Amino acid sequence: MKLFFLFAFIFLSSLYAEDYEMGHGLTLSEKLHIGAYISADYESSNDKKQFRLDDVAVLAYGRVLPELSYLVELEATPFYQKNYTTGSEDSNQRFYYERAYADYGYSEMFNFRAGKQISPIGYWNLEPINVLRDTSSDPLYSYKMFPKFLTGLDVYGYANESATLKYHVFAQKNNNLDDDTLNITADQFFAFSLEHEISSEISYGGSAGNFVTKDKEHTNFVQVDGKYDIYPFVFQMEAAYNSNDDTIQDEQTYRIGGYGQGIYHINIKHALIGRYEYFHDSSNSQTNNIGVLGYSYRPIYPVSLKGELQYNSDERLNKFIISFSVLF
Amino acid sequence: MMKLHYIDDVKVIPINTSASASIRQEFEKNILQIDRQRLNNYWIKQHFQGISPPVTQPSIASIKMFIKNVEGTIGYIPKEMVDPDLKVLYEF
Repeated sequence: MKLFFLFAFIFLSSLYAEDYEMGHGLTLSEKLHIGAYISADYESSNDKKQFRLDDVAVLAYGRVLPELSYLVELEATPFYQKNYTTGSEDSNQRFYYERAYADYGYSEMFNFRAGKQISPIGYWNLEPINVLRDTSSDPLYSYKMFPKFLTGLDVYGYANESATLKYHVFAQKNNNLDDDTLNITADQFFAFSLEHEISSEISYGGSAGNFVTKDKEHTNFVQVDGKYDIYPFVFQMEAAYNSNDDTIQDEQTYRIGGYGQGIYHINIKHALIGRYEYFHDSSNSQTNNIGVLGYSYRPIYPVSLKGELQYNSDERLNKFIISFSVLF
Repeated sequence: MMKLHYIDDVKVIPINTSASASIRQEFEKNILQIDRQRLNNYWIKQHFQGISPPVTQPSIASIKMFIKNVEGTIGYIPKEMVDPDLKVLYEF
């Protein structure tokens, strides 16, 4: 209920704020900016026809000192869903901490982020919400290979004077803040990542690390990525390998996953998207090859309407998804 | 987009003028080399990351005043408004 009032406050405030622009949030002061986003989708496959009001989220951030800033994001997901095949309905109106961290900027080379944050790995993981993406769905790679979130410390900065090589070294050795919705509930996570910008348009990088789940599964992973972004074309790829020691069942398994995605912007509002994904899991000898064809329409950038067809090598998993999302 | 936050250990404070000002349009075209709509999209993505756009000042005179009084401030003003108290980094 508190969040309902916060949403109402953001919406009503925006109506009266002279300089409010959709997608930029509301600036109350340098110490407090607030924003919100929602997304909804409809999925149709052989197994189910389902509507979800997937994300309902609010965020607040600001700079309290020249060197110190913070961000808090609360999210309910899935806020509401209805399966038209089975007739079942579900709702989750509990808002949990999606992110909650403080940033301390010491220099160009050393900065510190402490708290629950997005794991700084690759491109997809850093833009995890529907409205910022170009497809409604996420590739399997994005949630099967490493923890998407970290409740710990990230030391980051530029490793060279020209500010083209960015590094992150991050660590967690504690419980997560709100682990109900995590893709992997690791309570130990140590990794590093590097990203080299050749130019504003071309970059590449990689990361490697280790995490231990609450079930005491030890997993090592290595990841690579690359991006070419020259309007009207964007091409990006990411791939990762992880190997997993299950100390309870005393077996070793591995996964390989990755995707390549191309986007052609017909104009600033319309875009066509093609994606190929590969995923293999040795624990169940399962391999998926997935092709995605998508279309994105943004009447304005923070309002996104998308549709996509997914063709899976396991035909039972073929699906059609449409989504609507807004960043306030 | 490559970014620097510090110059010689001084935190950089970028400053903009109003969106309709012709000098801002020239700055975006010649220095940032990006059109307004794509720049807007960039700042929307930054908003989700908890980063807000540069502070906006309503006039060139107030930008000049800000630069003179706040260490680390970087902005753009017409050449004819430059005086010896300001350090010119680049002309366009």
